Amino acid sequence: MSVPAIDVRGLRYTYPDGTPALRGVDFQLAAGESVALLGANGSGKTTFLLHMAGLLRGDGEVRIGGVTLEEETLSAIRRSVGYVFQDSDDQLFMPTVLEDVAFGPLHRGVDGVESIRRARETLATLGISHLEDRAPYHLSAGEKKRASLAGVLVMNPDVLIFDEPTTFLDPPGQNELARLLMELPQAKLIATHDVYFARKVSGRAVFFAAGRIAGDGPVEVIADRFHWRLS
Amino acid sequence: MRDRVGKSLRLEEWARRDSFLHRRDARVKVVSVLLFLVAVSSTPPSSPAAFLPMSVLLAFGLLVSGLPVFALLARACVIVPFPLFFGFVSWMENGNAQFAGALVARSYVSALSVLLLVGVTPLPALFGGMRGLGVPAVLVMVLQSLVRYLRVIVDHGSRMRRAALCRDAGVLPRRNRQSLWRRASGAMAVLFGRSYARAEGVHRAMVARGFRGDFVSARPTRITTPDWWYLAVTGLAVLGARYLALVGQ
Repeated sequence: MSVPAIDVRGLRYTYPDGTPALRGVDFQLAAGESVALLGANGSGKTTFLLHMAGLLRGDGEVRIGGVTLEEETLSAIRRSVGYVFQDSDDQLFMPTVLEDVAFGPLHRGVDGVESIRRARETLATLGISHLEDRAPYHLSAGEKKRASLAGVLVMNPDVLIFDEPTTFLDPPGQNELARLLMELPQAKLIATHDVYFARKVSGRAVFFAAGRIAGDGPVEVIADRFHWRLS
Repeated sequence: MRDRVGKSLRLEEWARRDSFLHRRDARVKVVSVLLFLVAVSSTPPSSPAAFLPMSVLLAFGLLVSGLPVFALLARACVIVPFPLFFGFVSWMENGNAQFAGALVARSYVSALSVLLLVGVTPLPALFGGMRGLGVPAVLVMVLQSLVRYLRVIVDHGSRMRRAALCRDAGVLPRRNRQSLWRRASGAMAVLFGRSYARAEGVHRAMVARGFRGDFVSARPTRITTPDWWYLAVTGLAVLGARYLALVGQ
C-alpha cells in the first residue's frame, strides 16, 4: 500500500484569542488524489489547510508523504507542499512576475540562473510567458491566479493546496483553472464554496462543520447531504 | 491616495528602464550617493548658492538617467515642508534668510539624490547592493518589509477611500469637521488592522515558498570596469563640487 500524500490524525487547533478552529480532524489524501473541502465560512477549512503547510501548528499528528510534521521536518515538508493562497495579492510580492515565480526555487537553494530558467519554463507551461516582465499589480485576476500557480508549480511539489481558488475569477477563468488543475498529477486539496467547480476538479469531498469533518464522500453525495447548493 | 500609489509604483517602473546609470552595479551607485550625501551634509549652510555645484552635478545625473526630470523634481518636494519649518524658525530667531534657504536647499538636494538612486535601481538590486556593502541583514530586511508594508497600507487605503467615496464621504457639510476627524481616525485604525492582516498573509505566502528571513537575488551581480570608472569619476566630481562649494564661501 502506497504512503498517503497527507495523513492527519486528531488535529486540534485553537486561535490565540481562544476561538477553537479545529476540534479533532482525521483525514487522509492518497497520492495523486484530488479532494474538495466544502463548508461554511469559519468552519475550519483554511485553518486546516494552513496546518498542511506547517504555517500553523496545532495538537495532533500531520504526516505529509509519510513524514511527520515537526520543527526538524518543516523545511522538507514545505518543499513538498505547494500552497496557492485565496488572495493572489498576498502571494505575488516581487516586482515582476518572473522574479516572483523564481522566488521559491531561489529560496530553496537553487542558483539564480537555474531558478530563472525554471520560472520561464513554468510560465510557458501555463501559457503566461508574455507576463514575465509585468508587475503583478497590473495583472487581471485570472492572470494573477495563474502567476500564483506558477510560483507554486515551479517548485514541483507533491501536494497542491488551493484556498478558494475561484475567488475573483470570472466563469471562463474558472473553467480555465479547472482545466489546469485536472491536468496536474499532484495530490490536491481544494477549499471551495463552488460545488460545480468542486465536481469538475475532484471526485471526493469532505464537509467541514464547526472544526470537524462532518462528511466525507463523492462530491454530489456530500453536496446533497448538506444542502450545499444554490436553491 | 490612488495617485500616490500610482506615483510610488511609477518610480519602480522607472527603475526598470535602461540607461548608463541603470546599468551600473547597485553597490557603486549606493557608494556614490553616500559620497554625495556626505559632501552635501558637510557643506556649511551659509547660503543656498553653496549647494549650486552639487545641484549641477545632480542635474547632470538626472539627464543621464533619462528619467522624467520634472516628475522627479516634484517628488523631491515632499521633503521641503520639514526643512522649511526649521528654516522658518531659524529665520525668526536669527533673521538670517540665507541660512534658512540653505537648509531647504540642502535637504532638497539630498532627497533628490536618493530619489535618483531609487529611480535608476530596482529595489531588489538596491537591497542586494546594500547587503553586498555589508549592511546588516536585519536592517536590510526591515527596510524591505517597510517598503512592502507601505505598499500594502497605500493599497488598502486607496480601496477604503474609494468605498467611503461611494457612500457618504464628501457630502458632509464642511463645518462638521469634528465628525470627519473622528471617522478619519476610526478609518486609520481599521486601515492598520487590515494592513496587519495583509502583511501576515504576505509573510505566510513567503514562508510557504521557502523564505527564511533573507532575500536571495536571482541575478547576482559583479562590479565591472565601467562600474569602477563610474565610481571614480563620480567620486572626483563630488570632491570637485565640494571644493567649489568651499571656495565659494
